[in-house]
Amino acid sequence: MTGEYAVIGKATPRIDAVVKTTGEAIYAADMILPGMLWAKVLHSPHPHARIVHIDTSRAERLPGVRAVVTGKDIVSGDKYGFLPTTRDELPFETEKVRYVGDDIAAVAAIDKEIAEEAVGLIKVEYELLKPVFDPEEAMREDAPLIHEHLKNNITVHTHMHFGDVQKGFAESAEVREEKFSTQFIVHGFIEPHAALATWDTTGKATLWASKQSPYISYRHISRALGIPLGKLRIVQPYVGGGFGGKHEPFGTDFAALVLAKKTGKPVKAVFDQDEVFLTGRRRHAMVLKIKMGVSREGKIKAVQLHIVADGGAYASVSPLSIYLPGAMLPIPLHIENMKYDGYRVYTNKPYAGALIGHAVPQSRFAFEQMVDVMAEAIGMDSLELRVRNAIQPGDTSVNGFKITTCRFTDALLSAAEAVDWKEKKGKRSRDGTKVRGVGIGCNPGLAGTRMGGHDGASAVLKVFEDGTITLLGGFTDSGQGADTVMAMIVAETLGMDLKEISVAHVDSDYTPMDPGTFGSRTTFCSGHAVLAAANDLKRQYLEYAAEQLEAKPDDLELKDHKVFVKGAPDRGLPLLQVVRGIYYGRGTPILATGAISVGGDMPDYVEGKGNVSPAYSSGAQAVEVEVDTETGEVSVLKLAIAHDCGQPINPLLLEGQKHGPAISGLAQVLFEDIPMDKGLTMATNFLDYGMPSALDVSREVATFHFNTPDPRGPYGAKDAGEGAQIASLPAIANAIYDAVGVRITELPITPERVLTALEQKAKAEKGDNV
Amino acid sequence: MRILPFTYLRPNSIDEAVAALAKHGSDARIIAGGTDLVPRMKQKIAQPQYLVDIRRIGELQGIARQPDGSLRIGPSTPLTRIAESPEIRESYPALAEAAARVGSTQLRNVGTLGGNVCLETRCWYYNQSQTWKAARPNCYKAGGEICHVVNKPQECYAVYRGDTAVALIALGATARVRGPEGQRTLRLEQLFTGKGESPLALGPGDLLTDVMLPASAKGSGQCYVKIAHRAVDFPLADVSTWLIMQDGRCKSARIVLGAVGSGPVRAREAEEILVGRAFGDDLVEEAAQAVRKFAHPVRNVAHGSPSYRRHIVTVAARRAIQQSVTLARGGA
Repeated sequence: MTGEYAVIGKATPRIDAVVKTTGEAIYAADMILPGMLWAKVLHSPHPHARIVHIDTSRAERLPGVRAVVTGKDIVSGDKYGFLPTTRDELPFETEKVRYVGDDIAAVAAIDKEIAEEAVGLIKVEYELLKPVFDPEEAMREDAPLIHEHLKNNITVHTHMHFGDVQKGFAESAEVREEKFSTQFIVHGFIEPHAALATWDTTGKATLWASKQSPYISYRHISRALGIPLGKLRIVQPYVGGGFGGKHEPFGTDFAALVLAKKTGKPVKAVFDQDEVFLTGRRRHAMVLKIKMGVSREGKIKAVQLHIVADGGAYASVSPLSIYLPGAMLPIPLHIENMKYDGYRVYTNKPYAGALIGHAVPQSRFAFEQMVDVMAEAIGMDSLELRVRNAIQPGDTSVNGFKITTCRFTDALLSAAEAVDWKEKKGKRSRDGTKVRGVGIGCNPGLAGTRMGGHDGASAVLKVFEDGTITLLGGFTDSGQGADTVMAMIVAETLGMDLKEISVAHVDSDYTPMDPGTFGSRTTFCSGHAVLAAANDLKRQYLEYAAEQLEAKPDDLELKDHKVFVKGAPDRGLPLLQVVRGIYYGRGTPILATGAISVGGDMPDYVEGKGNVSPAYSSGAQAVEVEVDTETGEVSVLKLAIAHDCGQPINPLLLEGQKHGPAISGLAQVLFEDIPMDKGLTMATNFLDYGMPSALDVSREVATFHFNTPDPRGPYGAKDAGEGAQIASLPAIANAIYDAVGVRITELPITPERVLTALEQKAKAEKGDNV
Repeated sequence: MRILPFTYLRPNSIDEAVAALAKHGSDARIIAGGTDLVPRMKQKIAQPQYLVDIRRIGELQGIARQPDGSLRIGPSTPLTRIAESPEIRESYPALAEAAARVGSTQLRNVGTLGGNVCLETRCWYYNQSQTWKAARPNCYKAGGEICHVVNKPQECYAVYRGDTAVALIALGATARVRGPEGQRTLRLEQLFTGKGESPLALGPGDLLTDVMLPASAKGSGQCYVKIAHRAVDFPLADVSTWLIMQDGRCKSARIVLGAVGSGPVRAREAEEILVGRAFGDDLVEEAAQAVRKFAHPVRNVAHGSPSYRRHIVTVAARRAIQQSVTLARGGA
């Protein structure tokens, strides 16, 4: 397949590798403008309190301070949020604070030290309100209300019922129920939220900020500050990692903009990492109750899932966050009947939103462990059970997802084989206090879900007079390699060298708009737009050459920087001559455009119906773990990642897109946690948070790509990345069970939880013997 | 996070350093690698007016065998040099291992032995930023009234999480200190008060100038075992053991625990259990269990509950004793 292409499918170093390695790449926090001031944000020290009075006078009097702003300085704005029903955020809270870290005010000063000192001089008088931290408590009738307009603190409730679960359970040979829970984690990007803003006297506001979806922030900021879209310009410098945490505006953006307006100077705001931990988005902590029934033949007859998700103080993208764990349940293993109730609940804590794999890892952690439980219940190998329920091309899931291309069974079997499943499963090989086991987990994937109204992607190609090209797109390279992938699509389509294509970063004044970098949509959706733009450019070249050569455009070919009549390479024009002919002869600029509206169904956030993605992917991960029965420590010895991936555009980046998320899934299972003490985040740095280093994670990682060129994908590409985050969670939990016979239902799987489970098991076995 | 302004002093000799420290008293802090101090300055936990940088003082560097067979280590010696020193790896493997397990390669390249020994105690209510601290009244160690861990006034349970001191105490090291009143020599364990709020028995003008290790004894075995959340982390519990075997019995033993209290602590009862009795798994287990009462962890570190740390300190002790005995027998 890949043999047909000159660029696509070739392992290619990323085009930004050198400038990022040398440190030349400019990130938001690096930027400096003449006369620039530094901002610092004041955060709430209370989890729930009414703001009685804010006295900024002492801060204003501190020498070097240029301005102090509070919510009262924003006169024309409105609450912003994901959907009209979830607009609950203000740049700076004016009436009450809802979590420790909530933004209240900001200071601009001539240097960082003064700004930091000045926020400490702002005096806020609070009336303390009763906080609520536990989501299940928050749902009770007598719980304090965090947002007065919403009963029982329920941000969103999604109810799905496909088929008839009662019938499914009745037809099952075995039915089991279990409760699982998962913890908060953060994205862990090394580059904190950072912004630099100007706001000139004509009312034009410009924001340079670290964003993975600049247009999401663009729309939110426009609403929140009452800036007409044409008067707001958002520019995206290089981004130091996003992982779902850099879609929305943050205190840095609002502080920089509002203070720039007030002072008339450029203002920069950069969060310290403790502020990222205190006020950034995080993954929902969930309590999941799951019931599963299977037939004697190993068919998953029915699944019922009930989730209470700890959402924290504001809504963020919660309709999607609580839709996905249910909607993604019936792939890549079929469920005949399913029922799902998801409650996303407000608590007085930092709030949860998107994070790579978006809320699917939690439900998959529960679901895939139940698959193993059921396999044991009916006496079937759990790999076999999975194979019997595997989705196939042409299938439609119980909730209406249409599977186009798929090689899930191949992925499943190859992952299992990579850890010697047949030889090792159930063998529990022991060395001293250490016991080994293998486990497997599966994951769904989607290639660009529609999230809100706007689902389009567009691109512009601007040709220079030497024939080289700049690509203007609305997508963002948040570290995943989108710039390289898009440049490769252009190069392939036009028969050019990758070096001849440069990729501009988002600048809302110049680049076309795009929904954002989420839902694994960039390669699929933006890639399509880029491909369409490249085809448009090719058409323009061929049409011009056709005139010159007195031929039909359809009879021409573009290859090796030359346009010529098919089969007669002598009858042609060098590409440079075509470009110059258009520029100098016609005097027109050469601009090509491309766009796509993927046209998936809008997710039904209430009942979960519809085919939301143009394509779906699938994967499986198998691991071999070693459990130290004396310390409870778990090491992952081998991690095998297998997936169907459409047509790989750049196998090198694809490999990275599998390794990174798979390891970060491993990190959620075994390493990362954010303990909370009465609403206060206890881990505010990477030391306490526990993100693993290269020394801690699996030394051996194997990846298996099963190419499944998708008829709807650009060059057949599908998604990659997010799926790999998901399967690590249950695979490791299942492997621990295989090794030592204990099922850990709570995340993270700490050594202590392993030891406690082992003790309980020993006690139970002793009890049985009596 | 910004560091508050300070005056930077860089003495060329021990005398100059001691004079500078004496002059500025508690306003001054010694800096060598800075890997512990600088983060605390960013968090405003430490706000020194003067930093006395001792890295230029040649006398404080180096590893040198003394005529009597003992080994002298300058406290400004980087941890990487300790971990990689053939002399230390050969004669004091417990120390080499402890040094090799401190933080990461980058931290060991700049962090020093003296800095790791004189590590401040840590607590997740104390080692936090100013922004975080606005949400809680200052704890006792930070100049406030109560300890947030136990919710009691004027108590502190901050944990000592240095790595190398645990091994040094097990190996019978001594420390030389120069202060305003001249020089004094103490057993390394005497450097520690066991108090969370002020863990070191050093005055503001005191400078650690030498760490001395006794000549390695025949028939001895030693070991250092660290259990941590990640490879780069402070210990959740660490244990170092040293013992001498003679005719199948232990003649003398030292067992030191770290990270389970406000200072490194010798588990003397466990040492006594080992001495003079016939060796076997039961004896090792009895000694390992006996260390538990010397461990007093509280809920103030990430990734290790008190009960878990009490458990793993016995596991670490068992492993360290077994390994020490094996080495002692091999060396006898």
